[in-house]
Amino acid sequence: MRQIALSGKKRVSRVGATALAGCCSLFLGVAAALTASPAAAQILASNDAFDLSAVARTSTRAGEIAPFRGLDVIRPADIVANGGRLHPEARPTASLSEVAASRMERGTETIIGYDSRMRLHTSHYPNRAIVYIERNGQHHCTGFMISPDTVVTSAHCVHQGRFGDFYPEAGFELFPGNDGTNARHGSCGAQTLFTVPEWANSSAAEYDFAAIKLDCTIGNTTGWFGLYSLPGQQAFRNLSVFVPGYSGDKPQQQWGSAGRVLQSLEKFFCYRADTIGGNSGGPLLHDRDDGRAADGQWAFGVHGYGVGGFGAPCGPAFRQQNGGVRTTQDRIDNFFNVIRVADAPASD
Amino acid sequence: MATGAYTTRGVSCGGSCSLRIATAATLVFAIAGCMAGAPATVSGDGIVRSGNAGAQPGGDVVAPGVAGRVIGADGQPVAGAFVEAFPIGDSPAVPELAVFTAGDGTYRWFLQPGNYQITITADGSRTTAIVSVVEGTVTTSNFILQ
Repeated sequence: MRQIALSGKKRVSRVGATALAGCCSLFLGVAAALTASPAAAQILASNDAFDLSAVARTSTRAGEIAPFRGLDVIRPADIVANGGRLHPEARPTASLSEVAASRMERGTETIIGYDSRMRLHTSHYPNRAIVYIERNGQHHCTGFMISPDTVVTSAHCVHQGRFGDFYPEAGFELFPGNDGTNARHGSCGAQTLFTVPEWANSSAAEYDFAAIKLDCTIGNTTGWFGLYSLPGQQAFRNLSVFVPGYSGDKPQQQWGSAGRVLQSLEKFFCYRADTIGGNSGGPLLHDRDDGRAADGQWAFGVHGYGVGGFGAPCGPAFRQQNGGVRTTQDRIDNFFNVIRVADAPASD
Repeated sequence: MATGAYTTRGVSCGGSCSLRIATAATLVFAIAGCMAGAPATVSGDGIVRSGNAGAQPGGDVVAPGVAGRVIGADGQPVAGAFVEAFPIGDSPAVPELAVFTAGDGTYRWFLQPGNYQITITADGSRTTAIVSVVEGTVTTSNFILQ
């Protein structure tokens, strides 16, 4: 079931389209147009009269979820119209000097050899669709948008695995594109947390992926990442990978590091990029070379682990590699897309 | 091991909870019970969902890991210190959560059994310790930041 809201208050279910056709044909026609036209959706999303929660405005094929670039400019009214919380100290855009400084800044600590991380600017897509996740008021993890109200992250960010259960939803607050103390794109709460039984029963790293359904539709403003898979276990081997996220040693700022996929396993990737506590749940990114990069930014995995030894999927012979789960076709179709199209927030 | 009553902000009890810590063993079980959230709902589609708000956490299995408290040279708790865990030897890779000390200086890491270097960083100061985590227990490791 998907829902469309009018004026942020009154909601109309698309499941009931037949019954509503007589009185709401004009509105449903608009919804259909939005589904087919991202550009039209972007224009209307800036109109305060519409809350475009969970409108599927991008086409999605089997084995992939299409990205969306979001609004050209996000106004506070856009955040509020999509159920996001504004933060008084937030500034919508950065100054030129701030942008220049962020591009010059580099990490200085040793992670795997030289620290190659660079600070990322979060005013625009796609970086603003990367989510800073707090739990109980403290930095907890990273995530990334894949729909108006769905965030992908690591399972260990939401569930204790074989030793426990989900963390309480009420403790989470999610800030897309946060930049230090500047929560320029607002924040949302967590409505429902999702993972797979394999993680809950075993804590196996190969199943360390999860999703969070938000209590808002902030992705209508920030845009979201696509998810894709490639057939063949070795399909990603030696491809470049970029791993952005919120590192715990960089206060609430977004940083990223580039590397290369050294092991392309059936359910897991091993790579060498500089990450640290707090990066869990960030996307593994690669510019697709099949013409689809123009649609937006695509992710092919979820970062979750630092270097390790025996028991790590990367194996004891590859201790100096980080790891993240692979978003396989099965996982995209039967987990992420199922959650993505599930009910939108029920109330404001 | 410090004893006494503590109110923590960094654990999941719907905002805060009070712990009376008498021994390391009671710390283990108090934190384990406090951290557990609402039981999951498993549906037929192979997806586990959170839910059942208000239900009691079940089971008596203690999640292994390391926990402790960070204080400064003045004996006062250090809030917001960054806690990192690095595997030693063949120990498992560490999930890259961001772990910080709570307002009372306490922290808690769920870790698979193995040996780890725990590093505490705050305000330019850093201290480390080597800890062993075994199945079914929480290893206590307290720190003093100079």
